[in-house]
Amino acid sequence: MSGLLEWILFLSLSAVAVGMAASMLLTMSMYRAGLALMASFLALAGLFILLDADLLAAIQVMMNVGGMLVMVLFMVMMMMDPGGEMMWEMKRKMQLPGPGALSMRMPRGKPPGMAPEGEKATADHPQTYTCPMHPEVRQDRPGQCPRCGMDLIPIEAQQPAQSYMAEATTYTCPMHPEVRQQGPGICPKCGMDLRPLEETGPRAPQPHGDKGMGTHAMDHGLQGVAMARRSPHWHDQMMADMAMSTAQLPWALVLGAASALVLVVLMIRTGWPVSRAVPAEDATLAVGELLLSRYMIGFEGAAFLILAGIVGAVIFAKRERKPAPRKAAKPPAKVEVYICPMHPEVRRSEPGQCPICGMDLIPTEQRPGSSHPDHGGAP
Amino acid sequence: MSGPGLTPYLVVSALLFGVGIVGVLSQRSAIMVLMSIEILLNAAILNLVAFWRFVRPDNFDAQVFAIIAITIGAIEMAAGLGLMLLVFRQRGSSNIDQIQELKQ
Repeated sequence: MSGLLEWILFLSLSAVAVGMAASMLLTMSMYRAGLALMASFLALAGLFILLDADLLAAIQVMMNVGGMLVMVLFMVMMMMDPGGEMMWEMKRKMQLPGPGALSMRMPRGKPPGMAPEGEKATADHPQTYTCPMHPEVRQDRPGQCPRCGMDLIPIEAQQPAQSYMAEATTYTCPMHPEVRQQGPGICPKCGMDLRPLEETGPRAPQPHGDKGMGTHAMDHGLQGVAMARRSPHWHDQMMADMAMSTAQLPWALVLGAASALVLVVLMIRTGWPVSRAVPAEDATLAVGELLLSRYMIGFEGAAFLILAGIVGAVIFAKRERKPAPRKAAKPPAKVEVYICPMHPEVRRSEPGQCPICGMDLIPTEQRPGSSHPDHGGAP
Repeated sequence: MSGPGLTPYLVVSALLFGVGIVGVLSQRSAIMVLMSIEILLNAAILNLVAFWRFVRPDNFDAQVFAIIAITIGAIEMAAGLGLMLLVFRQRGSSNIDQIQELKQ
C-alpha cells in the first residue's frame, strides 16, 4: 500500500474513532450513544488492519461490536427513554438552548429559591410532591420517584403559573369558531381539542391539518417558557433531572484534556526503539497457533466469566420479580384518568392532547375521590 | 512517502483515552460509564498493537495479549450490564449518583 493512501486511511479512521467516541458523550439518546461507540470500535478495527493485525481486527469486530449490539438491545429494553425522543420533545417545546439532539448540561450556579407560595405548606393547603415523569406518583413529602428515581417536585410550585395560563386565555375550536370558553377543553360539537383564541384568530382553520407541529407547538413552547420563567426553581430542577452529565462536567473536561495532553507529550518526546522489521506474511496464522497452543486456558476462562455474568444476571433478576407490596395496597375501585406527563394538573376522562403543551395524555389509574382539590379540573 | 509511524497511532490512542476519561468522570448513567470504560480499554489495546507493529513485530505474544484484553472488555460489559440490570430492576434507575448503598 502506498504511503499516501495509508496516511489518508489512517487520518480518516482515527477521526471517526475519536469523533464517534466524543459524540457518544454528546448525544442525549442512549441508543445513539451505543451506535456511536460501535462506529468508534469499527474504525479502531480498521486501524488494526492498517497495523497488520488482521486477526485482532476480526476479533474486535466480532466481540466488541457484537457486545455493543447486545448493549443497545439491553438499553432499549430497560431504559425509560432510550431514543431520547421524550427529552428532545421537551427541549423543543420549552425552547431550551442548544441543538435538539445534544444532551443537556447541569444548570450552573446555585439553584434559585422556591417561590414563596410554594414553599410554605399550611395546614389547609398541604404540599404535594409529584414526579415530573410519572404524574400519578404523589406524596406529601419531598423524595424520589419510586419508578424512575427522579427527584419529586412540589405541585404548588407550578400551580399558580398553570392556572394563570389556563384562565387568562380564551379557547376556541379550530372548526367551530363560535365555540368559546375560558380555559382549555374539547369542542362540544366535534370533540376536537380547543386552541387558544390568538392562534386561531387571524389565520383560522389550519390548512393541512398539521396537528400541533407548527405554530401550535411554538405557541405552547412559549407558554412553557413563560411557565418556567415564573418558577425558576422548577425549571432548574427539571434541567438538573434531564441532564445526562453531572455538574462536574467542566472538571472532567479539564482532566480529560490534561491527561490526553500529558500522554501525547510523553509519547512524542520518548525515543521508542522502533524497528524496521515488517511482520511476516503468515502473522495471523502464527497468532492463532499461539493462542490455541498456549493461551487457550485463559481464553476459555474468559468465556466462562462472560457466561457466568449473563447467567447470574438472569437468575438474580428472576428472584427480584416478586410482586411489589404497594400494588396490593391499592383499593379496587379505580377510574381511568388521562393526564399529561408534563402537566400533572391536566386531567381528562378520555384520551387526547394536553391543552398546555400538546403532548399526548397518558392513562393512569386514580381513585375518584383522591385527586387534589386544586387540580382536579377536567372541564 | 512512507505511511504513519508509531507516534501518530500513540497520539490517536491518547486522544481516545482523554475522551474516555471525560466520559467516566462526567456521565450520570452507569451504562454510559461502562461504555466510556470500553473506550479507555480500546485506547490501551490500540497502544499495544501499535507497539507490537513498530517495536517487536516478530513476537506475537503482544497480539495474544491484546486478544485477551478485548475478551476482558467483553466480560466487563457482560458483568457490568448484568449488575446494571439488577440495580435497574431494584431501584428503577441506573444513575450512579443515586446508588449510595449496596443494599436497599
